[in-house]
Amino acid sequence: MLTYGKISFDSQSCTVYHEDSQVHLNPKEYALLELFIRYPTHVLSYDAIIDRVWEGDSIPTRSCIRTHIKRLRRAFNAVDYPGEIVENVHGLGYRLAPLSTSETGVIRPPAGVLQRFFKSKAIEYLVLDDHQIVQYLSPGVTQYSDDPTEVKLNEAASDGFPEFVGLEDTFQEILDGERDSFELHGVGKGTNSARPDYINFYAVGDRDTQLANRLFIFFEDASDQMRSRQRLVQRSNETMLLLERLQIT
Amino acid sequence: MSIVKKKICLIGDFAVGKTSLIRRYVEKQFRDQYLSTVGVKISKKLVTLQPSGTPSPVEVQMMIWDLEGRTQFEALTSSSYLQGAMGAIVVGAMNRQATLGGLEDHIELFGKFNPKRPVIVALNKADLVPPDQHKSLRERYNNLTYDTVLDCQCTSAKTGENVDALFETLAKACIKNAKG
Repeated sequence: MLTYGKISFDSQSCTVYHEDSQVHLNPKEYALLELFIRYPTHVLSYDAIIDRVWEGDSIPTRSCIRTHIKRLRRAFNAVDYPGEIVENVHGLGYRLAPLSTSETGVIRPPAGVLQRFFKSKAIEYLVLDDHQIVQYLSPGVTQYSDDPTEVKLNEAASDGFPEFVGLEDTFQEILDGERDSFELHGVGKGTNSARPDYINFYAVGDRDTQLANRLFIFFEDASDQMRSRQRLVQRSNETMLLLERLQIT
Repeated sequence: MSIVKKKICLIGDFAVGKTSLIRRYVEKQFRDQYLSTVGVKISKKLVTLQPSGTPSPVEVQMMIWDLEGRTQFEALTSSSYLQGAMGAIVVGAMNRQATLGGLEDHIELFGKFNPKRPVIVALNKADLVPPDQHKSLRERYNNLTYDTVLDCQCTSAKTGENVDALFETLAKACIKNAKG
């Protein structure tokens, strides 16, 4: 099942729905829509459309393709789709129109806003490819490593982060889309004295980029929260030990 | 000789000496002062082992996870801590019956997330219990009906009794388990 905003596309039953309304499409319009949904950010030229949708058939004219695009738009207009499903990119071809906020239901923070938020919270991250090799390091991520000298591009991430040892299968499940995310809280400082006393990390797969299979691992400083917890647990445990001794005597 | 990395976890109730066992094994030190662990602390120890039936020695980087002991507070996603562990040492304190009663809970919790991974039971603080009681306690917990429990040892982080053997027995079992 493919989805795009409120559109769901079931390739097994060959049905398309916008919210609860079925969108009635003929086979060519259906194939066109599937192509656009599989490449939601790409501008598809007439040649690219012909190669993928008319493969093996007689070559259609540009006018024929325009007619199918019009029918596709009309079918979505009939189910009250806001705006046009496919937009014309002058001189280049066609592209799936970006989702309006009424279609997504959410307003996503732009990259700049996210970066400023990460900075304010001292959140750093690294990116692993599908072989779990480091592909990107945010500028301050080594401060969260137990051994900053071992954190390198194109190397295994577990060399600098001992907490990743044993999690290879978990990370692979996320990369394979079998699991959404994994998080670990309150990992204490090891040999790197410059590292925060405690960190949390969150591993999240990239589901939005069609061409790359990547795992983002975000780190945050959890020292304040964990130090408070330590004081609380320490007091409680000492009291419990005292009570145990009193019960024995 | 290539280095294999193995994650092992120490689990048990609070104040049974998990942190002290690790400190004794890794740093050869002991501190009497009790400082409760929260979250998890990971220590590393590189050892060269030759498990029986293997042709040559193996260098093992042990990643030893010291987990927050079970308390009345809800653990911080304890299942996440156990994920991917190749073995566990389940620790109770010989001088505190309540902690021995909880050993089976810890073995079952570990087995739930890591079925078939080896477990060793450590009856710690042996220095606080008369030696004539060691044998009977050890026999009792050696007879736990779990296929994964390999052994039960009386240990003392304070004197060092059986501490190296505890970790190295588990490390060898992890290597054999991974090969099997």
